[in-house]
Amino acid sequence: MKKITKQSLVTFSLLSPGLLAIGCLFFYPLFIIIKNSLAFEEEHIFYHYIKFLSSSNGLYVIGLTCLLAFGATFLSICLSILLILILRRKPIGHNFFKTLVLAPITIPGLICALGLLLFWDKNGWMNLIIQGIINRPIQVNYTIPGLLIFYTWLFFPYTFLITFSQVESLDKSIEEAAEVVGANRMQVLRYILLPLAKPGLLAGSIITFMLCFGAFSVPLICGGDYRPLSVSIYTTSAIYNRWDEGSAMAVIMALIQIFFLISYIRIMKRAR
Amino acid sequence: MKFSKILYTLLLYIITFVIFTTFNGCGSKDKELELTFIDTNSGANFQWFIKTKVIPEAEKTLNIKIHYVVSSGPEIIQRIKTWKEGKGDIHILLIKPKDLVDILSSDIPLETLYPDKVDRIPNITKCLEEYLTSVLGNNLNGRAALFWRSQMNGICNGSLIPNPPSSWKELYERRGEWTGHIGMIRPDAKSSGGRRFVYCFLHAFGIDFSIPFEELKNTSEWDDVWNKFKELYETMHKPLASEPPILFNQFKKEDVWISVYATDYTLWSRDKGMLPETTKAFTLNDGVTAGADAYLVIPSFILEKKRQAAYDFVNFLLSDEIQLQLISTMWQYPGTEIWDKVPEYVWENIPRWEDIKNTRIRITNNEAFNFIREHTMEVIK
Repeated sequence: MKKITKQSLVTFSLLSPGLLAIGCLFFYPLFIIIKNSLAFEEEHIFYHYIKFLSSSNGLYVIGLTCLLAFGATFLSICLSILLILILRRKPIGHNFFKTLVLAPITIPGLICALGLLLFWDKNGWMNLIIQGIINRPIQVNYTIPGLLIFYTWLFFPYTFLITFSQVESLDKSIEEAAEVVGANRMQVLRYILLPLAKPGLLAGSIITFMLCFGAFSVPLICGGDYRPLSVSIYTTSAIYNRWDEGSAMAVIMALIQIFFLISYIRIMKRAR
Repeated sequence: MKFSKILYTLLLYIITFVIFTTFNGCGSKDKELELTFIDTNSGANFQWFIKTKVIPEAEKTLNIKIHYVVSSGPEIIQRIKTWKEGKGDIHILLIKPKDLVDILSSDIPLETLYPDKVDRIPNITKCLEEYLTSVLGNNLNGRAALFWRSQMNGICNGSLIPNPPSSWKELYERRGEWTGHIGMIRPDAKSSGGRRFVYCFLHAFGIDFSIPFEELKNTSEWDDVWNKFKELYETMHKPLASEPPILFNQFKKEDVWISVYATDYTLWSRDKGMLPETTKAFTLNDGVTAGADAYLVIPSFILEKKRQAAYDFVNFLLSDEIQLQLISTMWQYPGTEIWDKVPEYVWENIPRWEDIKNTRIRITNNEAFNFIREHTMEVIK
């Protein structure tokens, strides 16, 4: 058995205020949520979990949340790669454009949601342009493709920023070497650039994924009948006043996120 | 000059300014009487109105300083419960009837304003006695004054619907005229507008909410009326609005022409350009739910000089000047009976009080209301 030394006691006493603060501010609220989610009065302590997971609505909500999170993350990766390929050549105004890309992060989600609704409305700017081409408006608001567009617009800057900084740090001579030995642009992208940018891409996309998974304002305002987990938790807890069920749903949401986070980290490790 | 030096100088100026204004403020505190006015009732529109219009006017007229604070009823009730004689730091409360009932049942001592303080608050005599003696069926015994009466009404775009329906039954029968243009807020939204819409519809078609819910839901009328509501839902604009601003936006885009919602908030939002200018309210004579009426109360455990100032402030709030502003600019029915002084243009926007006062519905069956909140979206699908 390891002996408790004076040094380790000093270290522990120095760390204890910090540990206490973390315990009070983070673990205690977490403990309360878990405690609320357990049904001590019912015959099964995990009654609320079972009820939610065995209901068709529960599985639909989880499926919808995953679909939106994965879909928007995929679109964010595609959009980020496209923008990075354009911006790394430093065209005129690239700095301004990079700043513009950050705009969705700086604007509150609720304002973004209302703005997006107006922009994609049947009388909005986008549909005015589209109607000039196909003579009829397209329905984007309150649809799943619409939500994917809105999520991507709101959360892709995280993927973009981290991947862009990774690509910027790459040695250009590697690409030049590939071109010297006869690789075309697509081959350079596929065999040189993307593999080297993969860690940044994965790190950025995981943040985007997590934010998409927990998105609230956008689906609340723009989701219509599509209401993912975050909105369902809010409705169950704050509107129906069923905090126990809402807590169980929140714990399920957290567990799913942790599962995806661990999977992502493993993939990242392999990528390195 | 270096940028950092400019920044440093600017920072110094800001600190000096903050210190100066703070000490200046401290100095003036001794000169005037200060009251704390807690508002647990107002929405965004009335918070704006009270903060920018009422408080400055009251401070000027009464020569007192009023701290206006927005809070929640249950939280304030818990705070007041802990007070001791003379130690109270909230001098006037603006509360909903339900919170007032909670205060009365928790034995928090309140000042009896009517008839005891009629000499200090003469304007309280303009309130109907029935509102001063009871609230939601509980004895009030003059311990509060009525500031406003809130009411939901039919809302329509007057240019698209020049002859709105006069009842829920007519709305249901003429639904074909407005297919795809009848608006409603989701019953499971934070706003209770959608739930109240459904409650009123059920009530208008003969659902007796005095019957306990367990019994009510097994009656044949319950199913029949829900089927009628489903038919109405078929003609509604979809998806239903998730919150009031979305409903207003649907009005603005002319996707929605007609709905039932809070009169004051809708028309105030119209005046702010969020709905078409031609939006107006109309009455449905088979009943629409009352909103949250606003009551003014003065807790007893406050200092005597503050209590006297609080009486003056309540009298000011019940003055014709303020009460007329409530109805003519905020579209809220006043707490006092000043109908003969209301400008005629008001009635072109909202129904007359005499037309709605006998059709106001109170939500009495909470189980049924909860059912509407939690299950309407499943039932209508």
